[in-house]
Amino acid sequence: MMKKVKSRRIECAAPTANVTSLVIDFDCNASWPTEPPPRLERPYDPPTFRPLQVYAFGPSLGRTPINVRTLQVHYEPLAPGPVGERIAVVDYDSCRDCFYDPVDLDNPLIAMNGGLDPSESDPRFHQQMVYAIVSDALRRIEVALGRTVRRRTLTEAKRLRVVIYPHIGDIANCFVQENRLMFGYFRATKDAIGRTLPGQTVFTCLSTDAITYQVGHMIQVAMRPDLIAADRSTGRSLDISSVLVALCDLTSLLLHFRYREAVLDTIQRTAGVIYRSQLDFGIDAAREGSRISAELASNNPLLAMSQDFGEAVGRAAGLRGALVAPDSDAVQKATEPHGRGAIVVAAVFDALFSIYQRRTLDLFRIFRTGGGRLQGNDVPEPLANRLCAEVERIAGRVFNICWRALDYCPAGEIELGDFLRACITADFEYSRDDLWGVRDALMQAFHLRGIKSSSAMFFTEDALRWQQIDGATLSAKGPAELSQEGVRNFVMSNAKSLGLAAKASVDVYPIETARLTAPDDTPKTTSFTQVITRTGKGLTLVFDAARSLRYAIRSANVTT
Amino acid sequence: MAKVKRKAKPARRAKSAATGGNDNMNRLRIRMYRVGFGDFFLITAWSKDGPQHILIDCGVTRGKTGEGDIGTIKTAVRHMAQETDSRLALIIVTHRHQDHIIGFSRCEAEFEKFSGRVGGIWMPYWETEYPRVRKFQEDIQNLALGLRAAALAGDRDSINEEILGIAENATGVSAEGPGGGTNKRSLDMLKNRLGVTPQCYASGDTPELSKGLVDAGFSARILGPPPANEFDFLKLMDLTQGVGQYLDVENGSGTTKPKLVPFGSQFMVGPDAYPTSAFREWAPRISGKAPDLQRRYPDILERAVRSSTPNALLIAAKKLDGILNNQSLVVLFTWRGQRLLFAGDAQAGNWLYWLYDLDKPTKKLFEQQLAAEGRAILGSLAFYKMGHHGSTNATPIAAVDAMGEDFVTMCSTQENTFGTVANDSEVPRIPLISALAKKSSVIRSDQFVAKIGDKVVPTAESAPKVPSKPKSGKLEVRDFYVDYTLQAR
Repeated sequence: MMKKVKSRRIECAAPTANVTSLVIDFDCNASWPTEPPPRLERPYDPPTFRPLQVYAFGPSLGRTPINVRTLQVHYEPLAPGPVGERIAVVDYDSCRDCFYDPVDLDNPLIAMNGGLDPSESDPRFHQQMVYAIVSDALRRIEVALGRTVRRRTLTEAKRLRVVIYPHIGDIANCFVQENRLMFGYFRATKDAIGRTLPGQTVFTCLSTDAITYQVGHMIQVAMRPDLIAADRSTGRSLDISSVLVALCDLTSLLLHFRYREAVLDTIQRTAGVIYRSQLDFGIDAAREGSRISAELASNNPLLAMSQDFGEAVGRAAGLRGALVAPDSDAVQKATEPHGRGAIVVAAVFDALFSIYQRRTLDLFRIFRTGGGRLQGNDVPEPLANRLCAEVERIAGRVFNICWRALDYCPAGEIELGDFLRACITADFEYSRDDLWGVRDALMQAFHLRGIKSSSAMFFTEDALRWQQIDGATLSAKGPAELSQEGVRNFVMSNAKSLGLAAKASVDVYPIETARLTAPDDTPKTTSFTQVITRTGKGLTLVFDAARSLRYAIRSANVTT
Repeated sequence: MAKVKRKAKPARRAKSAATGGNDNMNRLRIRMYRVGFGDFFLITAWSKDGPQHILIDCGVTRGKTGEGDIGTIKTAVRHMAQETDSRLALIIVTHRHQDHIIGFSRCEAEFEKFSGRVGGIWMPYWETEYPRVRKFQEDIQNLALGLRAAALAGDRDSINEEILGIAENATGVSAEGPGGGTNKRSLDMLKNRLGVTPQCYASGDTPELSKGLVDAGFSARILGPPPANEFDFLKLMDLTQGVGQYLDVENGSGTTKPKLVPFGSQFMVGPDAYPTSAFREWAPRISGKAPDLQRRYPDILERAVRSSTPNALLIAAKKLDGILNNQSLVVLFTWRGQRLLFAGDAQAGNWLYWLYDLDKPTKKLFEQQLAAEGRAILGSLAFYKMGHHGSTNATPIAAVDAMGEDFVTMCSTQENTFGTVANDSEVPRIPLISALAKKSSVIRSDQFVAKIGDKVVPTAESAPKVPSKPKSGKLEVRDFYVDYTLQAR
């Protein structure tokens, strides 16, 4: 016998004009669903960035709001380590022969907190911080270069995967081995000062500057093996080392400007003159002397590199600084890579602050015209924000120029003057106009420090830019195919025009292609490679988007 | 005509040598004791007041292999004391390495007898007690102790052995093997217990010679080390310095504790705590096979990390070694028209400072011309005490090129102590010895058997069995030393 269905008629409003009503027979005996319908299998979009807490400068500046920052690092799924596709952290300590507990940054409790809170005594924070700084520095350099960094050899080019060892042992150093970043820890000397206690353990993997320096060096090793090989095998060129060291130092120092709070603080404590080496604390301290620790003058963190290490070995300043007084004989006097590199760094920072001064002059004028007066170091917040934005933009531009210049450096050999020429050419290729006066500022700053190019006829922008290739002297404008073989054939058929011996045996590195967007929104596609002769030196070739050869760059003292 | 003889009974011979005579006034004797890897030279000239003795260094080190110390230094010091009647006109200490000074503390009792009987002591500028210099030397000492501790904590592989050798040479700390003494005690003996205040010199200083030495025909010049304001020269230890190291050696750890424990044991885990992808780069690559990425390779990873760590330590150790060597006092004696160069262990920066007319050091030596004075000095040598036991980093090629001919080179060394032929770092360096042998008679201390009682130390395999005969002067081989006697011109 069939069960009688008890039903009730429900009339609904008509959904359309043609149907006046909708009748639904509703089974009153049926039970209402108690569970929601099954979830749709629709994954969430991964985030673009992952917030992670870091020390902006290093533990020696303490857990102040300026020093404890959250970096937005490029997101990738991470296994404990953290271990991802691009970057992996493996915490093995060779002195204690053990691994340290790996941090799981995908753990919701950690992810919701923006990573672990800073702690010197927890290796998992060290792993998080070194991962974050490396990821951020790598992304910024890749943005500057307009491409993903690859490890190049004469036979292949592979996407760079960075493996970080944050605590390899008791060693006061950190260094690069191929794609590996190695960091040691050590005991501070008895002369340690500042917040570093004598005898305390100093971790190189907690120094932001040390990390970014090593990232810079690792990328140099990956993208310009011709320079590294020349530097290591022959020791011929002091200036290869000097330029590479300078670029690493610049990477560390220029990335200080990514920390807006630190820049704002510096502006507030220097009346906008951010290149002062010391920061003051108000009028009272200046007039009556410091009475409490908060009134003590401190070093300008933007300009000091590795303050932690400096303090750990008893120095009042960082290991190196951004600015030294200009001296036209400085280059003649400096005879080791760090010393010569420091001159290049000082020249670049001279240019940066000169541009800053020029571009902010109107802001101060407007401020004064409106009746504003600076009281001590106090800068009104709106003005401070504008100054901050300005210096951030300039630092970013200079950072990009310096890294792009590496693509325009000669193969197998560099003079300090070549680096200036590379900077000028790289920036010209990116933006014909120089409305900010960056190129002129760089030229003047290098000139002031005695860095000249022996291959340029005049000290003008035109002369300092690498000379473009005259296409009429070549058998074709460029290679038939932008590959190693295609470039080799092209070079061999134009050896004489390119200044090589007619039957020179050459090796060609894999082609790298950069894709940038110029300030006027036009796309810029440029390809680079290095051609090396048996002497270990050679040419850097630069091709435009149509595969036409634009530059064949060689150092002044190279005879191929 | 040159003669090469081997004679016995050194003590009796020593007594007769001390008596002197008119004939002696025209001769100068340079004695090289065979102590192993270290310098121990005694120069004797005669004045009307009798023999005037100059002691240049007294040390030995075990080195990387532990074979550097042949255990003869105590006998040699005793012999020297007898020979000189515990009286020295001058002691020259070239620098504070174990292989140059350890004898002063190891043979403390013997040297105590010299107290008040030493005419003068010369040391490098870097032994002054100025606070800045003193602090620098203390930092160097601390760094060496730190390196030693790190090397002791590691495996006993060849790299750690080399670090230990260098660090122990810098500190004089040796817990095992024959001997005893420390560099610190040796320096204390020299600075405080011999009854004479040392004079500390740098390049260009005019040294004080005693009346006896002047009467015996000596004059002297100080060529090295570079003064304190020329630190760049002091740091330059070789000409192939690379980059990639973030911290410089003077920023070293300064630790004296053997092991640093950075974290509590609660953080220690095994390799299984890491995903297999963490070991991806260590997966063995076999041709034609895809690497197995589903496994962990902790052994390979650990080995790779361990092997990278001592390399950095070794670099720091070698820098430290170079800085101390560059502190060497380089003395040019002129004796009755003959020039004698004692170069200590001076490395590149020290040589560059006095050999070239440079305001700053350079690696591009091939672009530089020797200064006229440097060329004149090297071109007229009658005797050269080979720098740094024949190491490749201590006698620049340009210096060898500029040296004249028919002089005598003495090299106090012991093969298989540092470096290897495989990586072109053997000490003494064979190509360097060969180059010098074309111009001079090269006499190596390890070229002769050393006999002390029943103990016999064999000759070096890499050395010629017969020493090359000097064109002028006389060579005499004794049981554990070699005498070279020069005649006045």
